Amino acid sequence: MAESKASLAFVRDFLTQGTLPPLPRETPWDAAAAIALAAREQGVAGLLHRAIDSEGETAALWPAEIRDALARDRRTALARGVRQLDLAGRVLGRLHRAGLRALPLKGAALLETLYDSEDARTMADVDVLALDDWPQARRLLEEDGFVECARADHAAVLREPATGAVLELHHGVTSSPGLFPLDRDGLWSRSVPGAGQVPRLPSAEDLLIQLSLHAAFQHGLVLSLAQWLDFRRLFERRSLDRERLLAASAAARAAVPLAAALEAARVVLEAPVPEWLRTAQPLPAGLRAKAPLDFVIPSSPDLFRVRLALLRGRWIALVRGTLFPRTPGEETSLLRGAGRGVARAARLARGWGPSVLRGLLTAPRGSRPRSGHASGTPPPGARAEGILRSLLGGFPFLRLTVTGDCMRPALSPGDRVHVVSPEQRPPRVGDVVLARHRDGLRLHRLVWGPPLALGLRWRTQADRGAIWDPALEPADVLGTVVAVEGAPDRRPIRGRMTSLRSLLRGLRSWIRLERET
Amino acid sequence: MNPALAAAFGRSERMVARRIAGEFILVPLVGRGADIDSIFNLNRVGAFVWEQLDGQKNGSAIVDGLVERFEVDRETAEADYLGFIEQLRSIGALTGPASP
Repeated sequence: MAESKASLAFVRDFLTQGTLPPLPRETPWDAAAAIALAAREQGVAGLLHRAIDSEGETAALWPAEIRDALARDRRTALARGVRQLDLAGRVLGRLHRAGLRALPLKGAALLETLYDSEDARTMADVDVLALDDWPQARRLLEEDGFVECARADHAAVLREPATGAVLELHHGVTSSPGLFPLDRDGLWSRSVPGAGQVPRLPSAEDLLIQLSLHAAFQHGLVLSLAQWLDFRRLFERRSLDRERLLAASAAARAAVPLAAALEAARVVLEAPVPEWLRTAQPLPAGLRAKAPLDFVIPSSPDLFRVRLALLRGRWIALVRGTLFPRTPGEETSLLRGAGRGVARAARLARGWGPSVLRGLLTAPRGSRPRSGHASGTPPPGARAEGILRSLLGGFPFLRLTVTGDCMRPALSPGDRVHVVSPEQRPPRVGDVVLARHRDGLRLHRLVWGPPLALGLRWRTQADRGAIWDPALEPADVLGTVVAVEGAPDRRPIRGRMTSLRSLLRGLRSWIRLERET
Repeated sequence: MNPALAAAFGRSERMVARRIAGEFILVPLVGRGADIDSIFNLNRVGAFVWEQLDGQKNGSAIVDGLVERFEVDRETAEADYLGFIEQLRSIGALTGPASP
């Protein structure tokens, strides 16, 4: 843990100073490897490699194999970034031809203007905000072959099977859409032509507001260093119109999230926030500055507290927006809406409840002791799992090869499956999931879990297995299988009936076992 | 004259070129997300030829440039140019040829 903190601090120093700090002379290989891993997790491996590549003497201590690994990362990021921007351009062009206005959000909106090349900053996916008729925009993309693989209350996650690219088609900038009103005509009229693959970009002022809402409301002020660097670069590379920014921020009711995000960006990477902007909005007590790395992943955001502080005086709207979000084009009866609200409330209570209670009963987060092993270094299994989680969080999907035959016929040895994070696709009974068990990671079917977990621990089971695997906590599930390469529809990777059969078979075995013992 | 030397090829819009870490890289937009098996590294000569392929200049003019810039005899330059053009065509990196 101490090792990863030091590596993270090194990467932060590098981004803040703009030059490569000297590598510690003792154990340079370990230090370099840990820093390279931290840079990759933070989405800035390309920038680190660029710095190493251009700084002769300081770079001499960097081992050749680490430099090669970073170079590979950089090439991967380049290929991916170029293709992601192409996807953004194609989607915006497609919607434009159909008479629908749309603009890129986040990475796709800034990569070509704030960075010198696509390899400098990685994006998990491509975000596009549909300004007109979101249901129609989604239908058009589905007609073009995109497949919806997940849905949030403010966006649909669409996958393009031919390229594997993931697109989030938004109708709101954040979840609970409506809390921060979108001036769609204003966004469009202020937008500017793009100079690269993305034909149109939001204005610098709108981009800053959107980044701030995303950082503060969506992520509780905990982002990767690449995402915090966006703020700094925006101030360094684009000019802001004071009146326009303040007017747009007031119209979006985003003054507090803007102030909170800018304060964090200033603390984390010394973003040059102008004085007039720093003093435009006082910060509520719950959002005051902490240590820089508390705002950086893998820190856990205190989402509940941050949202309460961001929306002080609007808590009823927050509850309504959280429990009863409205999706454009979907009419919901009062009864059905209430049912969904209760389900969301239960889900949130499960996710937030314990952390809120912990927060109320213990010291502030900054002073809470970190969990970890006595040595301060996680064991190899935990480290591998950490890398897997990090990759799942940073990439649209991971490709894994199946080794056993316990999931036949759904999955056979040699099959290559695509696994996405639980955030992208919350696991449900019937899904094949990647789960952590005492003896390692397994791709087994979830036979007991959401939506009917009833507060019990989750269960997985191999399709050909006679008994359940040991019980799991939700956090033990690292990801969900969403596709088998070369077999888009043939195999039941989401099999409710298979799951039910497995569950009953497991129950029968358990009863038999109980009788015999 | 070889017809490919008389023709003027252009760069396909489905191929993006970037210089990173001293390398000249071509990224085909038809590939999968981060698949780096399908990206191409060009050496100095390849990068020079790629930048000359503007759909206006014919092969013979580009070979003249190669002879001048890289101090190579014309026969070798022609052979290298034709081989490279063939490779680029096979990966769908070119448009044309346009007639002179």
